[in-house]
Amino acid sequence: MSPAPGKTRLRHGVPRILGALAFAALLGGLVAGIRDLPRLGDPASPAATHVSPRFIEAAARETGAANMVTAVLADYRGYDTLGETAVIFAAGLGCLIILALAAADRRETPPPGLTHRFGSPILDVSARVLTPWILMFALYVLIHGHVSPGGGFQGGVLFGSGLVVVRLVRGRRGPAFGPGPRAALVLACAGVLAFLGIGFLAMAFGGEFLDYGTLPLGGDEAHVRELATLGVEAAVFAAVAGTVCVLFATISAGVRETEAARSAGSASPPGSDG
Amino acid sequence: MTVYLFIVALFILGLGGMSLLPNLLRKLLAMNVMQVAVIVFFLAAAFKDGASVPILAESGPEGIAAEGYMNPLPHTLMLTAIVVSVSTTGLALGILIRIRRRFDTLNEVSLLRRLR
Repeated sequence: MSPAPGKTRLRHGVPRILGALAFAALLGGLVAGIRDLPRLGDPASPAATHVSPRFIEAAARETGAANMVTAVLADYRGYDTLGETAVIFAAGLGCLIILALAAADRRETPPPGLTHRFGSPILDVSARVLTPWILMFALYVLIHGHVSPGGGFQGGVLFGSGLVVVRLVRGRRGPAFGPGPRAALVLACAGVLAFLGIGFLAMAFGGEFLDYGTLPLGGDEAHVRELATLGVEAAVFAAVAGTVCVLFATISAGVRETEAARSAGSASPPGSDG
Repeated sequence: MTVYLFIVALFILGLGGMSLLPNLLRKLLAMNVMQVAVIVFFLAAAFKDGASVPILAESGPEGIAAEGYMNPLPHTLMLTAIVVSVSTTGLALGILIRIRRRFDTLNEVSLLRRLR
């Protein structure tokens, strides 16, 4: 039932011309709009003159974080970051639901850890040697996010990618390494809940939601905020790392199942997908 | 100026790909190209002449000049946007896998014909 190759292209004729005209108009409008944009690097541009100087001048004094991006991310705009973390978790959860939890959980051979050799010697040795360093560097990026580029998002992606690399190298029949999709989902969920928990904890001690200044962690307010920010970043780290693992596990399992179904089915010809 | 032209080109390329390519996977990749255009646009807004990265250089917090550091706000927004884009792309891939499994094609025209 595969359609003729000629019929799978988009329809020609009037709609296509109208579409091209609409694109030309959009392109012209955008290029014309460039003239009204501030010059690149202009220190007096609107983006650089309203809230930004306040963030730059007060971030270190108020939140104890030399990295202003971390201060804005986890403290000034904590509410936004909470939403983003929830979106990431929801995307991982949605992928898992769409591709069925059971399919992702089924594993061929379960010997855990890196105890068995896998792949070619070069792949095996380099994955063995590199993986602990990648994972440790991810933790460094998380913890050092206050004073250098880094934080929960970057560290989480790095940690999740480190686990994914091992899975890519070892192949699907190699030994299991890292959390399975269920454990990774629990990790991601725990991250979102920890973020929420820190927010509510601030409320319980008389502050506002996600306003960490009142938490009884000892020291002055900037120090308290620094510690709370680290807690929030760790929560984001867990959510992102867990989601990356969930996404990879479910998508690879989904592809595998689809391929199995196709090869088991009545030798249907490969679809002509333009 | 050149940067803005580059951003517009990238944006149009992505939007055009999304609406003109018939394959859903290619549409998804084109959407990512469009997202990159938006991200580069925000990062261009953060740029300031002669400014350093938004990480405090000296240890003391006294006398911080806003002119010396780039705007940290767009960096923060794009940091989260990139990771959100990774996870939404993953979700979209999941949906594509299901479509492929159910209809055996990712071609939009074939799919519309099957759905009719």
